[in-house]
Amino acid sequence: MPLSWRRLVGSAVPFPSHHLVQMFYLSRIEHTFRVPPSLLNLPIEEAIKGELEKLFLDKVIADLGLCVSVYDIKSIEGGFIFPSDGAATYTVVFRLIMFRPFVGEIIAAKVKESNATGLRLSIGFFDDIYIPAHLFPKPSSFKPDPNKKDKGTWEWEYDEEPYIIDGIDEIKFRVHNVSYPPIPIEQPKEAKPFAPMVITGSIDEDGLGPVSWWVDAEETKES
Amino acid sequence: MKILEANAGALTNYEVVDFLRSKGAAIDSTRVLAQVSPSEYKVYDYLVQTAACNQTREHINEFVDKCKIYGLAKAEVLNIINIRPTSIIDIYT
Repeated sequence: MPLSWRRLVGSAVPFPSHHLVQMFYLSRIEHTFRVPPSLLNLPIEEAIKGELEKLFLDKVIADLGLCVSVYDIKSIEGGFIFPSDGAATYTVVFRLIMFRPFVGEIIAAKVKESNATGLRLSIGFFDDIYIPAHLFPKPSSFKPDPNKKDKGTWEWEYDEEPYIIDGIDEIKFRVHNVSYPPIPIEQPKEAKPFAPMVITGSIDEDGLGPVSWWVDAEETKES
Repeated sequence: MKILEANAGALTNYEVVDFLRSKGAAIDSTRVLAQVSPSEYKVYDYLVQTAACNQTREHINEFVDKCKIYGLAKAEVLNIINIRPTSIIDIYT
């Protein structure tokens, strides 16, 4: 069932062209830390790189994003050993590759969970991506699964035809918001594990949602 | 920890894949020998499914040169490199 375009008006997403916007950025950081004495036999850059990876890899830095990799080391200073410490302390300036999608970016992800509040998507290395119910194309409805209590499928009704999000193909979504909730002091027992970085996405536009919804739209244009 | 420069440069997906590959990431079974951590591997696996995996530096340089005629903003060129639109609908979004 080919979909024709609902809103063909005008301009593409306005890119803020005065600065670059991308999914991955480099961030330059300075940090002072100890290198344990057990690593003294390694060449200095290797030991420092190893420690940096342990400290930052796969961790979220507020407002900078998720650290993906240590790109390079710009400078190493210090090497002093403080009294009663066996380890040397270094001040290192280095660059990290950060994953920080910008608002308005289009990303393709897989469905991880589908429940009454919306969808949860994953891109492998990051899975706190939520599409809340109000950012679905309208009208959409949720059909709860008779077997599982909270799960179910979402369905979009357009032109009298139902379009289902069945979790088989990838979902293209537009980044609506990236937030870094503060670390909670205490959490109730059944609460979800704390997510330091949460991406909220929208699929309420032409071209977004499961890839299969739009495959036929090309054919209608040509005929 | 001091943040000296929050945005020291944007990277195309291709550059991230290239960087991870130069560290030794690969799709086949030699991956266990590389010094690439599991979380970096997840990023590599995701990027390999996107347009970035088939690009080379020459292709990208060629593309940027050809785009100069159109006067696109740098951000738009970078995004086109990343998404590699194959249909009208991709360019629209």
